[in-house]
Amino acid sequence: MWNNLPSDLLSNVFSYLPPHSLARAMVTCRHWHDCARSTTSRHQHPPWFVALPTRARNLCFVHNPIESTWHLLGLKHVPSLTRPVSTIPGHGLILFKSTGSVPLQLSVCDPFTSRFRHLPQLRKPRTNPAVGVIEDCPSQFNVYVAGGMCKAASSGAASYEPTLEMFDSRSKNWTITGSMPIEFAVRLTVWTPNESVYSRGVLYWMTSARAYSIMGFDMSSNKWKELSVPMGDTLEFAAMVPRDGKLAVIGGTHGVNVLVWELGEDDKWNVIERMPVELGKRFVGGSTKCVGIEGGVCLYKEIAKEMVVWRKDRNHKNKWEWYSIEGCNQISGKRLENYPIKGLFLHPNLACSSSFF
Amino acid sequence: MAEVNETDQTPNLGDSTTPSQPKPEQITTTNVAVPIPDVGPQLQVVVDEFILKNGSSDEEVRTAARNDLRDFIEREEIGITTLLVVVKYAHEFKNADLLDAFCERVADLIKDKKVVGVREIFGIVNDFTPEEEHALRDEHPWAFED
Repeated sequence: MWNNLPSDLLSNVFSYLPPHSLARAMVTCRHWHDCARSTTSRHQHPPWFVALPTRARNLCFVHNPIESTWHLLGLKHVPSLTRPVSTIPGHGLILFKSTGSVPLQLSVCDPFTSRFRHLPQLRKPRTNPAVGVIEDCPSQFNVYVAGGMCKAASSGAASYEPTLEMFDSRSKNWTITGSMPIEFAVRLTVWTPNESVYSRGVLYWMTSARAYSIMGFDMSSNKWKELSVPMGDTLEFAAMVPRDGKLAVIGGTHGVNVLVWELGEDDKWNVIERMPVELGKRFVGGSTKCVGIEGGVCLYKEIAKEMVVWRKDRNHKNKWEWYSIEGCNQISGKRLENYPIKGLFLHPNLACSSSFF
Repeated sequence: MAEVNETDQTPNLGDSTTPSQPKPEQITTTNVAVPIPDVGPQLQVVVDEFILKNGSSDEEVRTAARNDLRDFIEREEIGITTLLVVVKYAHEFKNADLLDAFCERVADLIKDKKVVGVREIFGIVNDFTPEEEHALRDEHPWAFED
């Protein structure tokens, strides 16, 4: 009967389950547990928003988009003096970097299973480079590091490192993939970008503050380019978002006027969306941040404050909808501090078969 | 269970230029009829029609076939007993598209239910000890909070 169906058959069924249903399927019986553990999700479900308090190292808030519930996970192994950079979303991993003036040390953490691993040292140690991620397929990802500062061997004086390095999750090694024009190394270091977006063969980074601008590395032609961001010097917050394989930017002024632009074939920006005025009015005040993933964007402040999400509609594939979600100010009846947070998106990966660890 | 002989298969009516030897791609049995005992004639008809249309070289016909099948499954609220039979046969006949449609339906019956409910519906016997089950629930407490 259902207890002992062939494993690949059950895994096929489980590949359609959202994370909480998969977690429950794992508890029904041994056979289902083992099959669920080796399931690869089809990722048909909306991504989860993850909120990491900037001052509480071991806490991780996650929002289940289907049940619209908040949960608190404990992160056991994350060392002090690290900060989340971005996620490797399809693998369900958070990418952390070391802070301070030490050479960059990256590590990955799966918040749902508490698995943690340092990446090996860079080929060319450097401080403050740009960090990017490309996921080719469910079983592999690459991390890119560009620019940064290094100590010159002879004089001991610091200089900008004009190289791009790549980490391959399969070989678990860094390789230097090429050099870069020194001015891009300088900009990527001085302006410390946030998450990268990979679109149409180009790896993009956006500066983390006004005046926003974007730098991109074309993988096939090995060329760097710079793009201006629409309203780049007036936006108070902005983030890049991958949208159906294209590059988009969401940004706003005064929390009320939020626009989304998409980069066209000719590297020109077109406005494709505007946040509804009623939502904008409720969102005023305080400093807003935003983060995006293929299929969704979240505008947020601190953990207890209301957030605004713009997301692919589950029922109509080509429609996107605006939602507001309540912030989280209590867990299991216990009131919580209104933590400032770094927001990220990922797809929970409950399978132990993730090859990286 | 008799082996299905590929060269004796039901002809692929969607392609008027079928060669006498099956092309390597056709061996994945998209076009092989899947006779399913113990399900109503209506479901058998729907399955046969799906297999026929899904073998078409026209992508729109294939997409329509998949949508029709999904709609039928939802409308008729195909139940557990029938599903068990269908997925087993689709699996044995290695018809991936047929299998996916019905696996998704099985997943729909699991979604959002509590563990006890899932066990009941699927007639699953819990072979964990209470300690083991407790430890598993502790691995992902967020999934069991209600």
